[in-house]
Amino acid sequence: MHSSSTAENRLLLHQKRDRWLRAVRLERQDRVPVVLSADAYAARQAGLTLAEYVEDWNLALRVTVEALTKWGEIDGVAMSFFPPAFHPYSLLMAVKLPGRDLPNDVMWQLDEQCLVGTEIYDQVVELGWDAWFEQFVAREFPGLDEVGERLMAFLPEVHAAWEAAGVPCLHVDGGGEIPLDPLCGARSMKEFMLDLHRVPDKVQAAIDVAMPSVLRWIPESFPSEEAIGFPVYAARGSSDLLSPRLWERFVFPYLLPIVEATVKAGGVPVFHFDGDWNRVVPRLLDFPAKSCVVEFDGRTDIFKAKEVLGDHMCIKGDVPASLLTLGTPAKVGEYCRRLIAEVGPEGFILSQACCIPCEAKAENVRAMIESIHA
Amino acid sequence: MSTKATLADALGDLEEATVLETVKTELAAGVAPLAVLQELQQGMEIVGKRFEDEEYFLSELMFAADIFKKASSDLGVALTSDAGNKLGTIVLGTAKNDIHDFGKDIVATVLRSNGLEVVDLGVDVDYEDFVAAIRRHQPEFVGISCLLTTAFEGMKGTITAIEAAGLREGLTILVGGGCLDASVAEYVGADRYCASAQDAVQVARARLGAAR
Repeated sequence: MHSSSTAENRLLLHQKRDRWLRAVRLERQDRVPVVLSADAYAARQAGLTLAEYVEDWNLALRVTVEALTKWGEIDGVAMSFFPPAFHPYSLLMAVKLPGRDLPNDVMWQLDEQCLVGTEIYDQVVELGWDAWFEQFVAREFPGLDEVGERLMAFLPEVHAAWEAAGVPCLHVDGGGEIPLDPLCGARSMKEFMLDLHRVPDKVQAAIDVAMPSVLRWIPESFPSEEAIGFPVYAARGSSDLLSPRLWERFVFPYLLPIVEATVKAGGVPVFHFDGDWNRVVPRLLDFPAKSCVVEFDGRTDIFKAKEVLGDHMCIKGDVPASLLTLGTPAKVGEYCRRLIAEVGPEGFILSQACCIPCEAKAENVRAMIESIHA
Repeated sequence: MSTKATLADALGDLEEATVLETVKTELAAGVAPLAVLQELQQGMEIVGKRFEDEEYFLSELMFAADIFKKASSDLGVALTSDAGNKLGTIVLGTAKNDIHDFGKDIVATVLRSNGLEVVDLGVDVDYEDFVAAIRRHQPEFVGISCLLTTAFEGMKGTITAIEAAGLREGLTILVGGGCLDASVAEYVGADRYCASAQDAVQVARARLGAAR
């Protein structure tokens, strides 16, 4: 492993960050960057049970770095390290973990339950978001704060490990989400979707109260003056879930200030848009040109999105989970070459959809990485 | 406009209060529960059409199904035993080793509100539970929901077990879930990948439409 202190390694990290930034700005460059994220896949590749991966963070970090640097040069990681036990913090949903709630080698899974009634909205308005959030997390997810503190203490080690391997961490750890997401998590998807129709004014009042807390955190998120991606999540804001009337009321108006605050702070908003966003892709043209990245997971037609977005926004994605799991290296290579040709080469970052799936074949991941050099 | 058209339209327009009030009024006036149910199902057809036309999306589909559920609960016990109204039967569950229930629950709700009897086996369903339910309920359809690539083998194993039990013939097996596509349906041996709950309704109608 290289020493992170060497000038050679610093130069390599700088070159990779620059390649990523050139893609964000839709500039011409030597090749398309490849930026990956993995968790359970790394456990499989190392022969660990998923319980071992969840339990031992040092081991998990080591095998994740190994799994993503095994097949040649990659230009960065999006998700540097995220312990599954911390999932409830962002979506306000419980998580079932292997070795604790599930058999040792079963994938960790969000356990979506309705944790609170419609009184949640009045409570948020009455207490303010931060106080309500603190109370709710303490009540529903005891011990989660300790996981968060442990994670904050562990992150410098995470960054050092990736950089020592010559891989920059291109995204802020954490990021921002539209307030619809945690409210939906706490209520459960089903109940929340009904709330949008039965008590829309209450939902909006709570979202409006939450929004300043989302924005306040953004300027504090950037560790250095280097341009870095700021993940923007809207897990429950995709266009297949909400009609135009609801989307224009509960999603878009709250994405916009997150983008503006991030750009003002010197960051690059990276929309993590899992699900079907096809209908609203044209709305991305309202965001600042050549300043953001949008990543899709295979359910949004990335080729049509490119036709719509043109040279306005960098696109990242989207080798599907099914292809990485069930496909062949030839099929993966073919898909990646099509992505590079039609979505890139300028303004495109090659990546897996969402996160490399647990059961992805190593030879398929290799084919994805090698396609940038073909 | 006739009362019947009003009830179906009210559901189609997601006018919850109007739907519930109209059902009560019709029952009080002596309209047969089955006739009221058919009006509500016409309303769900309007919702389905608007979903296909991309006027409505998932939240509208769920809201409509919830209104339907509330309204039909007023129709009484007599209705639930009226097999004449049933379009068909589906045995539904989430794949082995997958505990996600949201997608499955949406499909169950939407199919029920479109006239199918749904036998919901829950989540993390063992192969033999699918087999036993098929033997018992003789469904036209089996639906397997899945949100994890780690559960692909669970879907495949379920279908293999159904084949091994000699129950595959005449059965239409549907799969759906966030990480799926047609290639996964082919891999696990299913007949169809459904991208949405409404997709499942369409498949059911296409197969059973003449029987209604």
